[in-house]
Amino acid sequence: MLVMSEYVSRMLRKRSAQDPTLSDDEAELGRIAREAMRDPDSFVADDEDRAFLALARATSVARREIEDAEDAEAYGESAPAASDLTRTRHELQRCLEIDPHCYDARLLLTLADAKNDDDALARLLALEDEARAWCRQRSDELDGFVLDPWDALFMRPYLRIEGRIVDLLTTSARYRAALERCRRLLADSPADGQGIRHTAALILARLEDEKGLDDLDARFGRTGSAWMHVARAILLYKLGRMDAARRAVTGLATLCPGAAYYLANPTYVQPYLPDRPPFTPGTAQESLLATYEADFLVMDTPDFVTWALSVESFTHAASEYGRLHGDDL
Amino acid sequence: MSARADDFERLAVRWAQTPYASLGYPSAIAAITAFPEVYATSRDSLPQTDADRAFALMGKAADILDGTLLFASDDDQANALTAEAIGYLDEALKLDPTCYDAMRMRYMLEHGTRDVMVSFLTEHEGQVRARCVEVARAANMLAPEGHWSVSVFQRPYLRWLFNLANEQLNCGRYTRSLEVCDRLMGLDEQDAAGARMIAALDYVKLEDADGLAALEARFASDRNAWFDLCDVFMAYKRQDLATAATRLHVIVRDYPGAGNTLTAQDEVSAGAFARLSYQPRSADELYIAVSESAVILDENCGDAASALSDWIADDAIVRHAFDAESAKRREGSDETGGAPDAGGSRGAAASDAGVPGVSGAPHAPEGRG
Repeated sequence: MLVMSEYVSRMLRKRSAQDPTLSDDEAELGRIAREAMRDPDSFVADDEDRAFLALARATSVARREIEDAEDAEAYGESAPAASDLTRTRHELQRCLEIDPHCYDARLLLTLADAKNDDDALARLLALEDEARAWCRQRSDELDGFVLDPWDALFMRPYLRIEGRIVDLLTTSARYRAALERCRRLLADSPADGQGIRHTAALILARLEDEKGLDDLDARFGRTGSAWMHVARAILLYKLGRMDAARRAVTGLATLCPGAAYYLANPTYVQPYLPDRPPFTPGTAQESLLATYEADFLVMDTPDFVTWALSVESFTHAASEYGRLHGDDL
Repeated sequence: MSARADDFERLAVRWAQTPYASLGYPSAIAAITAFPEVYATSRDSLPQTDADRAFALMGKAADILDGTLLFASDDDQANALTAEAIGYLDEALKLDPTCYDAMRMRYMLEHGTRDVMVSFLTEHEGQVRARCVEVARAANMLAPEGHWSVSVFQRPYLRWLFNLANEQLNCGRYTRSLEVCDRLMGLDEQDAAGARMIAALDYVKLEDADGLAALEARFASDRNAWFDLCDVFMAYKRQDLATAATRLHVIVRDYPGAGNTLTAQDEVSAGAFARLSYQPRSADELYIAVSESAVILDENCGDAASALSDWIADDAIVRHAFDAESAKRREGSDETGGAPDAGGSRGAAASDAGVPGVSGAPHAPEGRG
């Protein structure tokens, strides 16, 4: 989630709602947007905006705190204060004092406060109805007509909660329930701005639902993605169709830069705050995110990577990427 | 399934097929009646083929791998026992290269489990089946489809498939594993090998509630620890925690030592010959079922404990049972079972006494993280 750019978009939408002529004046919209990026504080109109700006601050504090905790861990120090995310929590609480309906802050605070995954899940499930009702109301007031729910900026906080519920159902190995939600989200939001289809692809492979995976791929025009490639390769391996699996692994290695390397060398990715970071399709960045998210699927198929490394093109791609990026495989 | 029982049966078949007069008995009835005692006192002098001798050697290896080895006190002892088992298996295969139980156990010891084992078992499966049928027919003991376990000569193929289904489960190939289980249950409706338990775990992995329900209905007269656990898992997965808890508490009530077994959630390596044997509704049964459930209990948690695993161990009733069992053990008046009755259940009798011997096994049980 790019908090600042979403802040600016929300601000523009609010102004357009007040002044309908503005929505046709692209030059003026561009000018306001640039101005707002430079000096966001001067565009704050209400507590909702103020809380959203505080959220931007909270996420950058969170990022710093997580990095500090990682450093401390790397140097073998125990850093309870840093890993407790005390300052982050404080910042998030501040957002909520300004605007109790800042659902992104509620979401992050819930994740930070939860004892474990089941606890986080229970709390988010208790939150989702309220978030939906509120966001729906704000969206009706401000977003106007949109083609896809993701384009309804004021619905996004709710959709992000849904996305994390899917993630938590997945990490607690409740794949059928996670898939159920993915299906509902995809039905409501055909353009899938949030990228729920990527998670769905991995789950379908985990549940060995070949038809489901194929239907999903067809639905998005078989455009492919690192997630889809990983899902298909592992699914074919699971089903024991080794010739097809070999071709899929070759496709994965050649079409997704770095994917073979990251599968062979699981690489750390920072916790999502709260959703998948933006990425450029077709890059190693996409491969990294996809393989990181696919961890549950890869771990459940323990011999897959070893087998994939017996495929020449896969090993070659993995070592080549490692060599270019200063790492021996 | 036990190698000893099979050995007894094989030799009983040879005995019955030998003219009673040449055995020194006045009638066939007299010869048959005398068999158990002759077997007990002078097994090696009984009429037998090289295949029978090979099977007996394999049985000795099975006694070690699925019994003594689980209680080995240290690595040195474990290695010595493994070497001894390999010696028996090699000897068995020299006498009878088609001693398929010996063949797969030998391969497993050399190459390990999972992927490589799946390939090996898949590759030779057709040959094993054909040969078992041939041998059974030659002995005039060919059991029809649906009743394969009736014939001692067809059981090696059932164990072969059982091993395959189990390895596939552990490889994350659930649909394939289910296919093998279905074949196994089709060949042997009684399911002596215990494929239904593997199938239940497969259905949970695929979160196929209908599949699990149909399987349990098919074996409606058989309540076992696997079905009991899988019902808990499935309810947990569909977030029906109330049902999951109710089912969990029934397990605590029905199985001795459940508090400890469900808290420790140990994992021991699967039986080499067949599933480790146990008395129905015993502490051992739950211990083995929990061990095999590691594919579900340990899913998706890296080095930590999974949410499901924690949920079970943190359950109030499970904790209460655990405390009660611990107190009882301290009093030294432990009567809740779990110890194998002499000769009956070999090994795996670990659950009740805090896993006394199994913890020294080569594949030290992996408890919760």
